[in-house]
Order: sequence, then C-alpha cells, then structure tokens
Amino acid sequence: MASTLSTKHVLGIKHLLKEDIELIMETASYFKEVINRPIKKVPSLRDITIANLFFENSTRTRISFELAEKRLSADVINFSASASSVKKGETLLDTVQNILSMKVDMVVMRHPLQGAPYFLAKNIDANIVNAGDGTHEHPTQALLDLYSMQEKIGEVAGKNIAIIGDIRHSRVALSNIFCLTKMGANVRLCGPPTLIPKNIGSLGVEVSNDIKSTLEWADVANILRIQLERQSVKYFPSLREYSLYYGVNRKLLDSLDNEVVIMHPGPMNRGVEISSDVADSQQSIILHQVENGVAVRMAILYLLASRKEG
Amino acid sequence: MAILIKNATIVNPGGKDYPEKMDLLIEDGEISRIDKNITAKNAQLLEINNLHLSPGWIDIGTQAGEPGYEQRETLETLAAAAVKGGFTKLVLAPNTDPVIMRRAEIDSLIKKGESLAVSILPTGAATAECKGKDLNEYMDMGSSGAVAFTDGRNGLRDPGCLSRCLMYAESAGKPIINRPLQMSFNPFGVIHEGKVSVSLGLEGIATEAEAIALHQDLMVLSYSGGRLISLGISSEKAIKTLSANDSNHFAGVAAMNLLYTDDALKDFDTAFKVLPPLREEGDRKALIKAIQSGKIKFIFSNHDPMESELKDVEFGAAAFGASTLETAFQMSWTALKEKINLEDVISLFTSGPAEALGMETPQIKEGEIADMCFFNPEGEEIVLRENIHSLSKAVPALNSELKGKVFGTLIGAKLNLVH
Repeated sequence: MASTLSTKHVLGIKHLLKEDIELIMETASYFKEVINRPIKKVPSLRDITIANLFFENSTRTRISFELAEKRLSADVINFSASASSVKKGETLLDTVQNILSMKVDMVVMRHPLQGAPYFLAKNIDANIVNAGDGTHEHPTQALLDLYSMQEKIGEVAGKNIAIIGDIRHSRVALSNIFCLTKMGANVRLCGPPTLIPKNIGSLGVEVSNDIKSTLEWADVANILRIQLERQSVKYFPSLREYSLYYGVNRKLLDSLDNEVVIMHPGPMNRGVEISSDVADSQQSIILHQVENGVAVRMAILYLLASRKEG
Repeated sequence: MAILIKNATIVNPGGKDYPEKMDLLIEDGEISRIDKNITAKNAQLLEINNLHLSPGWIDIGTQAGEPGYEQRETLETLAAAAVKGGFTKLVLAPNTDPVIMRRAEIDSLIKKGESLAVSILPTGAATAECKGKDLNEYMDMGSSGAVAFTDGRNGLRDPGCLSRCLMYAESAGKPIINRPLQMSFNPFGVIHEGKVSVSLGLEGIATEAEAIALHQDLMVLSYSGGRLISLGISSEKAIKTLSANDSNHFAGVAAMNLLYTDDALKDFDTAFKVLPPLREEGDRKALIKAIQSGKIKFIFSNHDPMESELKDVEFGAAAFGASTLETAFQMSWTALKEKINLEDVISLFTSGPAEALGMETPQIKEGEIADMCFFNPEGEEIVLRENIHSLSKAVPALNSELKGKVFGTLIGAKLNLVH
C-alpha cells in the first residue's frame, strides 16, 4: 500500500487513485481508534494552521472538520461568508489571499460554485480540501460514506449500492459515484428522470426510476436529500408526490425480501425522502456516518500534512 | 510612399491563380503591378522568408468593448489584435453600451474606424436594445454603412420577430445575423451537455438546443425570404439541417470549435467557457467535414473579450467569452492543415464571409485598393500572454503551439506589421 497521497490537494474523488482511497481508509481506522480513547487528542498537526472557509451554510461538515482539526492539535480559524467581506464584493481570491497572508498551511473550503477549489489551487500555495463545491464534488463525504459501508458490509467491490433521490443537484452523489466505481462496486441511481442528469450513464452507473426494484437489488441504499434550495425550476410537482413515489419508508422496506443498509448524508428531510421509522431503525447507519466523518477527515488532513513535510 | 513586396506566394481564392512567387508594387494604396523581379526606387521593401499573402481576412461578429466596455477592449486594442490575427475587416456586433441601433452610432463607429489599422464594418442591432421585440431603422443605418443587422450574442429567438427582421432587412438589401442557440432548453447550461458536464457537476447545453434553434431559423427563412447568416454552428446535430446549396443561408463556425472539445474544460478553465460551447470530438470532426462539403461557408473568431474580473474567477462566476481574434486563423489552420488545402482554408476567411455579407469577392489584382494579409503557413508560434494585444487575456490557446504565423496587414497605403 502507498504511504503518501498522490496529490497535494483533495479537490475531488475524480483525482484520487484507488491506492489513495485505500490509504485514507486505513489511516481513518487508526484515527477512529484514537477518537474512542479517553484522551482523544494527538499532536500530529501541531504548528499547522488550517482555515475553514465556508462560503455556503454548513453545520455538520464544518463542525466535523473543526473537530478533526482540533483532535489533531492544529490551529484553526473559521470563516463564514455571512460574517465576512464577501458580501461587500471582495473576490474569492482576495479573501483567501488575505487569510493566507496570515500564514495558513491548509484551506478547507465549501463554496456554492462548482470548480471554486480548482480556481484556488491554481492561485495559492496551501493544501486545499474541498468541503463541497456547488453540485460538483464533496469528496470527504464520499470517503466517509465508503468507510461506513465497509464497516458494515466489508469490501464494496462487487456489492450493489443504490443512490436514491436528487442526483442532479447532489455533489454527494457525484463523489459517491466516482468513489464507489473506483472501488469496484455496482452503482445504480434511482429517482425521477428530471432529477437524474442525462449523460450520467457515461460514468459507469445504471439508472432506474423504480424504487422498489432498486431496493430489492441493493445491499446499501444511500438516500439523498431533496435540495429544494438548488432548484430554480420545478423538476417534480410536489414533495407529497415525491415522498409517495420515491420516499423510503418502513412499509416499503418491510415489503422486501432483503435487508438493505440505509444511509443518508444529512441533513434529512424527515417524511420526504426518508421516514423517521427508517432513519432511526437498526438498518440505518446514519449516525455512524457522522462519527466516521471525523476520523476520515482527520486521516485526510494528516496525510496532506505529512506529504508536505515529506 | 510606395511599398514593394518581394517574393510572395499569392493565395487568391476566387481570383486569378499565381502559380509562382511574385513581387507586388503598391503605389498610393493601390496594387499597381504584380510581376516578377519588380524594382522600384524609394519604395518601402517588404521581404520576409516564405511570405504568403492573401486578400485581407474578414471576421463576422467580432465583439468590441467600445463604447461602454472599454475595460474589455477599446477600438485601438481591437485593431492591434486584428493586425496580429491577419484581419483587415471586422464586422462588429452591436452589443455595446449604448447598443449600436441608430444612424448616429453607425456614423460614429465608421468615423473612428478611419484612423484604425483595421476597417470597421458595423452592424446595427436588429431590434431595439437587442431585446428581440421592436425593429430598428435598417434603411437609415444601412445607408450609413451598416453591413448587416443582428442582436448579437442575445440571438433572435422569437420566430415572428425574426421573420419581420428578415423581410425588412431584405428590403434594405442586408442580411440578418443570428446565433442559433435556444438557451431556454437548458436555462442553466454552462458547457456542452455530455460526459464532461456530468463529471463536473455542471448543467449542460444540449446539442438539441442548437439544432432546434437552427431548424426554427431555417423554417422562418423559407417563409420570409431574405438572407440569414447563422453564426456559431457547433454540433453534428445542427449540421444535419444544413444544405450546401442554399443561396440565402450562410453558416459559420467559430475557430475554437474546430480545434478544441469539451475535454479542455476538465479542470474548469474559464478561457474555454464560451458560446456556442465546445462540443465533443464527433462534433468537431463533423464541423471539419461540413467545411469540406460546403455546408459551412466561413470561419469567424467568436472574439468576445472579457475583463479579468469576469474571467479570473470561479468557473460558475465567470462570464462566457474568450479573446480569440489574434489566434482564430492559427487555431483553424492547426485543426485543418492536414485535411484541407491552404487556399480553401483561406477562402473561409475571405470569399466565404464576403459572400455571406453580399460583398464582392476580395481579390489580389492589379488596379485594386490594397487590402491584404501577410502570413507564413509553415510558421509556428507559441501563444504567450505577453504577446496578446487584446485587453482580454482570456485566450484559450495560451502557452500552446499553433501552426501558422501572421506578419501583419496592408490596408490601402497603411502597412500594419505585428510588433
């Protein structure tokens, strides 16, 4: 197995090698053990300063990164767009350069526009971790999803993974597709045709519009949030109809012969894409995903920093 | 002063064939002699290794920044870019501020053009403020020198309005220029819809958005009559609706679409964010075939300069448009060199656009006012940012090597050499 990452940045799963992903998984296992010790903090990133730049609202990803950074003893500065000069018309590059002139080593960035971290990578020297760019990628989410799947069902190669819901507006879906296909899983997308991009089959996935047969096929179902905030035209008529035909509920799961592992990247619209009695059931590993998120992010930050030192 | 051009290979599509290298003597802005071994006292000598010359190149639909967007491109910087690109005539789009939609604005552009190193051929806006509703004064603008009418990058997408524009423009003896792209088909599209758009999480622009628009435009044209220039054919689907034999429809392709595909966008390079979008390899090959079959009549630069504040930003925040006037021929030649002979490629910059505009075929001929371009098709050039004359540095081919090299232009007695 490789001992360092092949890239300076984690901009997307697209650019990671399978070996990179395996290295992150193994390192995350170590950090998961660490964060379950009585003393959860390690000195690995002492003297490393990390800026969390969130140009878009986020609760769990931001907190997860911050916790990961603090558990690694990094110095952390937080910046969020609502409290910043972005609203005064400052460009992304200016904002970031100002922050970097305070000697920041790494940038964790979430941004509403696809490609924003690529733009930064071309213009600044720090390591960049993409914490979500528009409807493009959310690599750390896909890695923590993979970690959680492996924890539950073992290697994903040859397993059937369904991704259900608003694929069109989901960076989680895209990163999951890149990640899972790289690791050899069979991936099927399911949702209303208007929420599935036309050429997505070119990424090596199957597409279905039938939720029942998809769930019957699946070992794991990753249920995505309906992203109403990203829809400026109507892609489906109502939340009511969506939940009736694409929502995952107890009755649907009970009608299957197989037991599907249920995942959701959060935040959930309970009663829309997922019902509470599914989200909170034994089949669901949603809270494990959250816990694993910290370990996986610690692994990524640690590996990027050690690459820098090396 | 007289100018003596030595040992030039004359590429003269639609004009007399000169099989051997010739000398040309230019006196008082006129081609006074084409012959071998001309000598002339006190003439300025132009002698360059492997010098080729052709009638000056014509660009349809060039976007200027002046008036209103001088931070993007002034007429002076545009003229310098034109010299570097080998163009002697620019058919300017009207999308400036104010929009070019009255006689006075046409007059003003023509007057400003007189002192420039390029001839300005203005177009007038087809409709008021390029909003696609009310017709402007075509007769008045036409008599003042407007060569065509268009809403430029906005496009005329209301078929009723396009029909009225075509009929009225016909009575003024001018063509309508339209861009066939139905943006409402993919209202959030930013690049070609395909594997690349899906892998970048970007909304795509389907080739159908172009084919639907072109289909509609051709249907309207057959109803209304008139002359239509379709600017920016980019897809195989659209090409299928074209005919090589139309006498009143002229389709043009942007140079960039001949050389690049949407693969160029894989790392979110905003210099490739343009309309029409860069499509797939199959489309690119189909465009080259359409040139060979005569379905596409001319190449245009699609020069749409944007300030760095709109291009050196996140991809989603970046404007459409690239600075391509200087490299249009080189991009085309790089793409076509192995497939189409030099004279036919040059015709796409000379007789092709001239015919579309209803102008006489420009020729290298004794007794004509000099209007020519100097170049070396065997030359090569790495496109460097510091050599770009346009104010906009959003140049797609930056740091790559392109085939062909332009030395400059001659317009009347005005010799414009690339610095």
